[in-house]
Amino acid sequence: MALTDFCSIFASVHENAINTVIKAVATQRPSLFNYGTPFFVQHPNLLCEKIVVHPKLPPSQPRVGAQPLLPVPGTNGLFGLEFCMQVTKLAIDFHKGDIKLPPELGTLQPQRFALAGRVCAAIACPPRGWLAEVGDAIAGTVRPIDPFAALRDEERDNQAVFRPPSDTPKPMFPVPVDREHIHCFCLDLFATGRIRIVDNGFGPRLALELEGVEIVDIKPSGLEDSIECLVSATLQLGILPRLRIALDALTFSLGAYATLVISPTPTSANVPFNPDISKDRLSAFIDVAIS
Amino acid sequence: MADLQLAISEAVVRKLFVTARDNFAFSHSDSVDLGPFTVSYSAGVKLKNGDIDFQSNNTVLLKELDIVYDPLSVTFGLDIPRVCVGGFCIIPTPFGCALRAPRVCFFEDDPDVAATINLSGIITTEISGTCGMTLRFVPEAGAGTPDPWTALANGVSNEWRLHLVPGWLDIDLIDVADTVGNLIDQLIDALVDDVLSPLPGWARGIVKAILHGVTSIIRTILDIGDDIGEWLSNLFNVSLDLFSFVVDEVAKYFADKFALFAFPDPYPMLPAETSVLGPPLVPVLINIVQPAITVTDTELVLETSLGA
Repeated sequence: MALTDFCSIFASVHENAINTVIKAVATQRPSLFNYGTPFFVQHPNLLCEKIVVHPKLPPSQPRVGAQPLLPVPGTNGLFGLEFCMQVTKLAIDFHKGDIKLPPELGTLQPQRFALAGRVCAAIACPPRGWLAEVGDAIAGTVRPIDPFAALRDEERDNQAVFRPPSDTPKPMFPVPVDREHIHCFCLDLFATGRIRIVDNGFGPRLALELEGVEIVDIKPSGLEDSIECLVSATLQLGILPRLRIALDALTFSLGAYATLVISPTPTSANVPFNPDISKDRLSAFIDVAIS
Repeated sequence: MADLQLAISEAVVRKLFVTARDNFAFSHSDSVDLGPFTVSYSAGVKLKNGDIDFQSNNTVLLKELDIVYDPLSVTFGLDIPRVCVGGFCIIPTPFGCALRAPRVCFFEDDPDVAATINLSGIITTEISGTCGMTLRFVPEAGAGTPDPWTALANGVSNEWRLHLVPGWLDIDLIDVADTVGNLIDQLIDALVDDVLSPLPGWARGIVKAILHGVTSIIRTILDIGDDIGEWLSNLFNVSLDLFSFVVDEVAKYFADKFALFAFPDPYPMLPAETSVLGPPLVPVLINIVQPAITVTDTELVLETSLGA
């Protein structure tokens, strides 16, 4: 049977190729996999895990994706903590899966993919003495006011030592980092999902969509859920959108010879799934109208 | 099975061929003045008919593509030096001429005599042939650049180049069948328009369609000899007439020299991107490992593995 019996163009990729691309993205666009506040941008050697980059990657390329400081609650945005977060391993596995999923995700269903990865993160704590000193200083700036004035919401500006005076954002001061107190932790991450063909005005594209995320061995469950939410958002908003593949990129640049209108082949008895995830491969069936 | 597989159906390639064929046309006209002689011409080329057929021996067969020369006309002109007679004085007087003979001049136009040979849409050249495809690696094209991104930006990356590999070619400089057919068609049109001029246009159209059907049979009969030759060429994969054999060799030379298209290796899998907070991000490059291109009866398949 020919590959194009039921479509104009057929494209198929093995999970090994996707993992090769992921590895290439990680080593050539490290700022997509490594995030940190300005301290870590300047000191990438202090990240939890060493960044592996392509040996010839130009020094001008960012190693760490810059993030704003993590605000310290109660300081009205005056102080922020330095932190870092890294996706240190990421691999995809198409059905039938080779990756052993945690019980929460069950077995990999047909037409689904699994992701296995490792996320490392740290919050950089300041020296203990610094916290006490600055805490005392802050306490000294808080003065009591007339209780009636508090009820009338007066003297707001006078009281708000740490509040920005108006709409002008006040710069956040980074809490100094004690290099001995960068508390790293790593979590093993598993996810399952499917691949859909989406068209949001830029032509049909293959897009990965997560359905389940599981981080192993975290208690209590609320903490686990919160971290899963953060990791899921990072993957779906930060990394996966960059890995979308435009269907028209799979057409051999045939558009140079005629005007092509690309569309996914409708599913039918002959093409029950499009895209199709099976036998460790992702396959797309594409129809082409030529004018 | 390779990491990456891309297949295009024969039907898509056929449609692309038809679109490219129908959009291909060029024409040129010019004139040369050689003193008393002038030659002007108007020549153009259009493509008609023809088909693409994928074959199981890893080749593509181009069947009977017609090159129609339309317009094709040459006008020869002759400019005869002007000759004037008369104008002499019949009755001269001391105050000038009182009566002159009439003056008549000949050959005042330029050119004075012109003959046009108009062969527009009549002469047809027919091309048939086969070709295979091969991918060749051109290594170290980017030698001397510090990294693959600079090589890509400078257009000196290593490359995979797709070359055509001509099998056999059959070129009928003047395709007798189509040329005679075109001539008969033009005669039929002129005759019907002349003799049946009282009839409405649609009625003349029906008569023309019937008679053009006869022309089609004549074309087929006249083309039988050529069809047999092409069939034998395809069978033995060699051009069977001397002219085509020479063209065949020339085509092989040029096909070997020039690539149909090329793509860089490593290949930019993700394009360069702007970055809000930092410098622009370089493209993500992937090594292309052992690419291969195959033609079957029904499709063209490109396979490759990828390397980081």
